[in-house]
Amino acid sequence: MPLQTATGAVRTGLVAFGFLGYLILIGIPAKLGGPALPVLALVAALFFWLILRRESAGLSAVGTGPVPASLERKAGWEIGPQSASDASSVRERLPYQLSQSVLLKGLLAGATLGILIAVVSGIAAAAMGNGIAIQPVFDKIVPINVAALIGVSPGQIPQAEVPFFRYLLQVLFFTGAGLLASLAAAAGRSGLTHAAPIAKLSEQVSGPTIASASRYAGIALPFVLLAYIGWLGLPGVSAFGSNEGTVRLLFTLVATGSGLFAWRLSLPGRERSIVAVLLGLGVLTLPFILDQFQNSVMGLVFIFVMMGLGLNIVVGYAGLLDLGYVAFFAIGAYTYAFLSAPFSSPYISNLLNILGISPETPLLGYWTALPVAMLTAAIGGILLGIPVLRLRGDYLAIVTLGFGEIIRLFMLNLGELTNGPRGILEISQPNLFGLSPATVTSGLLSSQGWTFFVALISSALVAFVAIRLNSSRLGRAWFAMQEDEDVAEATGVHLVRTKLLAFAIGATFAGMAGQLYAARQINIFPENFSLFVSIDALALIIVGGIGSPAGIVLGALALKGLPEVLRGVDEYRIVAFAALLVIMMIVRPAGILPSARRRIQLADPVEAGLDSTAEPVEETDLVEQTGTSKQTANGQEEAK
Amino acid sequence: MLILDSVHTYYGHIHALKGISLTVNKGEVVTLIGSNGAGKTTTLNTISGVLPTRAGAIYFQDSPRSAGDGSPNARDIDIRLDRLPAHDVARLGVSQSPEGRKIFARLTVQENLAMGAFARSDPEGVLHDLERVFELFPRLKERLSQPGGTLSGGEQQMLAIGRALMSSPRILLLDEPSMGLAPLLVQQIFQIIREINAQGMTILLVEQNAQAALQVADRGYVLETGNIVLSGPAGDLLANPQVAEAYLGI
Repeated sequence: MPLQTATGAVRTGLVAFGFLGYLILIGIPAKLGGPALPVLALVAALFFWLILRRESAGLSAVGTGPVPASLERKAGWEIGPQSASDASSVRERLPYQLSQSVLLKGLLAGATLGILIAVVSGIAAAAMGNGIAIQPVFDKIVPINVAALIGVSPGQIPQAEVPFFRYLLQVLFFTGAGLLASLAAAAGRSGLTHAAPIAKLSEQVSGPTIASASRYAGIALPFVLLAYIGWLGLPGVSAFGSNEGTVRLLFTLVATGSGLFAWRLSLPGRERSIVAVLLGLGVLTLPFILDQFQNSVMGLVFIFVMMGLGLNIVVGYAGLLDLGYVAFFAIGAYTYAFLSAPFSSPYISNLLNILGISPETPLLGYWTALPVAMLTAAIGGILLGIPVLRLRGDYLAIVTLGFGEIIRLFMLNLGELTNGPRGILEISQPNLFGLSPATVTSGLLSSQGWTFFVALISSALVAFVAIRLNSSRLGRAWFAMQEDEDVAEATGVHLVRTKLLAFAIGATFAGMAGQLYAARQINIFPENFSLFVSIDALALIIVGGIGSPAGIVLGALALKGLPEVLRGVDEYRIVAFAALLVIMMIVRPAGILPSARRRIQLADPVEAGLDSTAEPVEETDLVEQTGTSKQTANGQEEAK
Repeated sequence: MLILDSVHTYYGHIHALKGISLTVNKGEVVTLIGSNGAGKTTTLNTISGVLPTRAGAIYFQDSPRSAGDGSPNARDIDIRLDRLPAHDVARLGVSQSPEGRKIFARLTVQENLAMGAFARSDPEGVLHDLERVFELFPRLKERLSQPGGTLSGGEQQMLAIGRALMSSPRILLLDEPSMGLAPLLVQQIFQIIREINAQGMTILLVEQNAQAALQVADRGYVLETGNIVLSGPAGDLLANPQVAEAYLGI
């Protein structure tokens, strides 16, 4: 087995090298610049994961089988002293042994790939340093390409000044990619939520194992990354040669995303609350340590998190496909724009002049305008909701699509009110306890950092409400309505009220997001609110996992954040992105972090943990097995 | 308790129910039998308000829930169900376990049962009824946190009946509870229907399995292409040669 694993791992590493080698030959690292190494490592991780997850699936079908529900229950909440039968049952059937082989394989494959890349780039760098040009043979292997791959500035290559630890770092990056992939593959079968109790149980039964160690590694990962991001931001630190800002952005995205996984890897209870608090504090430090560019991207990501959470209520909870969600975003943005910059709107400034109020100053501050923007958006939601109450599915999608366009055309053509395509200008930023935004931002925070900070707080609030709604009476009514309107109505659900509430609450969240977006942009124009905003919001909840707030955050990071990192590879960016989406939809049709409910619908039964029909048989099976093993053990003792 | 007075129902311009009149008295099990397309399910859906009544009337009589303690104001309510939307009919205590079970597949068993009690605002009563459902269907208690869609057919039927009972109904409308179940399970389900009735529940039972239904029921109606062609005590119908030939396959 180990030898088989080893050769298999090396083979996997070689195949990955072939793939990445092609990317290097066509000059992708040069285009990416600084982020080349981490981005390639992520690509390798995705590649490894695709291979390892199949392997882990095959093995588990033959070997240990899925975790029995009774064990999960025990493992999750009542970890007390374990009896002998528990111990043997864990050893018998937990996939942790399997995970170990997968983990080893991932590490080895990653190391193989890393060493190959380090050796090849070392040879190329040495050749160039000694004046041998490779360009005539491979036209894209130029100093700038190799430098990006190694993570140094291009000038260091011709002088042959590459420190040795750079190559070690390359190996480390790809080995880490292998570890990440195998972790994901090992956890995939039983789901991350189950991975935590399983690892904990196996640790209690047979001491620290690779599975439990990797669980702690998974929890520690976001904090390590946060520290790394902080270090990268220190003056004088240069880790990746060029485009360092993008590298930091990439790490910020990965750190935030891995924070969600860390949360899932922690055990429910005290451990999870500690992890959650630390993660929260960690993320809240980000606006302070990032620069203007990174903050602006992250701010946009979290504005879209709010959008996604709101749209998720309409689409994910209530099952009403809304393609015109941008309308409420626009309503929120323009409401705040009118209140904050009345002078930009000819109609409103006239009106205010007649009323004897000066239109030159904002009517309301950011926080006092918030309820107004939310209310206006909610009214918009109800106004859309009433005519489409009887529509379902495709027809609903088309009507909402039209509504989104109508609002945008209104903004474009109601020149007197909205200033048409010239837009509303000079919208003010959120203030803090009466302090002007300038005072707030002149010190610790950049202006975009402040937006990011507000976006974080707002989306945390929205997420809290969304999660509470999920398990509320209203949430149940939404899900029931999504499943079967007639039956839901026959159990006493007031369909009209329930649907309108979904539209209104979803619109409220979009209104909040729109207001912050207006403040972030300072000047807003009708073209900011095109159909593509709706599509982005819908795509991010589908990729992340409909109905799952954590998935939505992940979706926003991937769909709104990652493209900014990949900006360097311009013409390949869209291709890479499309490929990523296609792969995601094939291997995880329910999204990256699906909600429990969606998993049931879309995933295969084993992955969704629904093998319970087989459970009673397995249980008796288990008792028999442990019984006989105990008997033989006793027999042996007696024989001695 | 429930009176249908020449009820007409249409699907578009298709005349599905052509003047159905039937009565269900308090504490009775009344069964509605007939072949495919006779209008059995349509009748139930019309009562519960999912389908609109084009002509005729549906009366529902009961002492109001809150004043059931015999206070002087406790008068029998007499309500035209055909004028109410479905969710208000449900709130009055007319509870339907629909054909094909139609449990909420992605909601857990617990949430499904909670949906049954959606219209109620008495937490203690809900808990009490939950206990009662678990007594009737111990299987559901074992499967509490499992999604409804993963239950077996028989368990789903139990859940559908349990969900209907959770609304603490005045009258229970059961639509083909034996559909697609193994003979042993069918027996079990009918046994449970008997038990529920013995606890005082009024039941209107729609069935294709005429024999089993008539054995459980007090009275029966035979439905044919939207008309009631025969009615009477269940025993008489069982003995009726016409019924035997057409529906019992004897």
